[in-house]
Amino acid sequence: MALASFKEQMDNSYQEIFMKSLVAKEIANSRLEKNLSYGASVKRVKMFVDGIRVRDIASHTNRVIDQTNDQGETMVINKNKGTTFRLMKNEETQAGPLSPAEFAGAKVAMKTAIVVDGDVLAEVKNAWAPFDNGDLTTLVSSGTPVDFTKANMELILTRAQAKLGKNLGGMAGIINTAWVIDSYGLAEVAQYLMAKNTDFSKAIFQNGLINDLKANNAEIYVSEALTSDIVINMGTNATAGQTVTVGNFTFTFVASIGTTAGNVLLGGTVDASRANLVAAINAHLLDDPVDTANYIVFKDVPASYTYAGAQLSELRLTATNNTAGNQVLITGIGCGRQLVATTVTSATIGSNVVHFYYGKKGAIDVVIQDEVDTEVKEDPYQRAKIILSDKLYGIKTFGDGKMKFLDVKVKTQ
Amino acid sequence: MKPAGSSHQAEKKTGGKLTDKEFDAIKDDPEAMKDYRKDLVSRIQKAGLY
Repeated sequence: MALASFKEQMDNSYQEIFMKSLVAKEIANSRLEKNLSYGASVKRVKMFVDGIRVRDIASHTNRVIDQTNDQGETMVINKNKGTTFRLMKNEETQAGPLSPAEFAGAKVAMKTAIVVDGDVLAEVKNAWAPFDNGDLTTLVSSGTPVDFTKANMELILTRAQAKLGKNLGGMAGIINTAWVIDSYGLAEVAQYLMAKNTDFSKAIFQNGLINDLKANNAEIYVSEALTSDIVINMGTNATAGQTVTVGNFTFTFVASIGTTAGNVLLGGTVDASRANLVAAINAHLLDDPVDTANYIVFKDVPASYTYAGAQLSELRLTATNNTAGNQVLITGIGCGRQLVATTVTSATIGSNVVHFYYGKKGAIDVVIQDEVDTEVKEDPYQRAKIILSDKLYGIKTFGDGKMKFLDVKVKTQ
Repeated sequence: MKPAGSSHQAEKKTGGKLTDKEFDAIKDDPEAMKDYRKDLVSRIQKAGLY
């Protein structure tokens, strides 16, 4: 296939799928820009009227003049995500209804959309107010994640709406709202609303929107690119062979480092062991994770074509060693709900929370490059094409946007 | 969408995808490209890709 045709077919396929699968496009205030450059900043100015008071007016007395001012906040276009891969000539044979370029474009678009959605949905944590178990029965959040189950559904849907309404100064503000939940969350909503027609397949090509299902007049979107926060308490050192599992990946504490992926060297103290575990997790944030004396990484490329779920690097986990609190804190941007388990005798799963979005649509601002920036080159050393495709974007939750949604903290397991 | 000049037999063989030549023939025609993209989405679904 000629390079120019390949590029054009790939671009078309990419754009069609990217724009139809991106949940953020519907939830956020998304703007597509033709000409974006990395590092550019977009300033948004809004009149700040919080200083204006409604006062008693007394005759013959100077009135108090309240201050208003232009509140300017800036969004920086600082996210440049792309894919780079080689397509061998003999791999270009594509049976079925798609050309190799169309196939590659669609696949790469799906992967990119998950990353962009992950970044946008991570903004949920910037909400002005959380919503958790405490909010089900009181006016305050307790810090305990809510059990997003059918049994709690009436309370969740109505109380979340009430909390948002109060924050926005009245229920009149509760229009154009949406939930962004994951598949397991949807399963619970669907049971609660089973009398409705729940044809989930209709979410396809509709940016995750579940078309026939509304919860307390809020649209429901499904995404597996939600943010998760995990706390593992570990106050006493592990022994060799004991494990910590996140999703499909098991880290095993070992006395001698060996060669098995996921091996983490036991430290002389629990703090040192936690530090090694944290470093092992964080190594997968690098483009090319490498083994060290303290851990063996999970190789990014599967050994076979057998699909084994997302690779560890795709979960975008960042771990922190909380030495004072004897904890490992893990945040996964766009990783969705993750199963976490440990066989370390002293360790417990302190919390495992996935962050759902509930609020007005358009509260988070996103500026995305309109067209995908693709380059297809002939590989000088092989009968192959090298394909580079980039997407540039910026995300910001402005001050007034933070009020318009809740960070719904949901118990994962 | 049937590519210009394609026969039923050709469509069956290719699953509706266009050859380079067929694609080049329509790529500057906005209407034809609209049809192409519509067809593309249905082919992506047919391929079970999404």
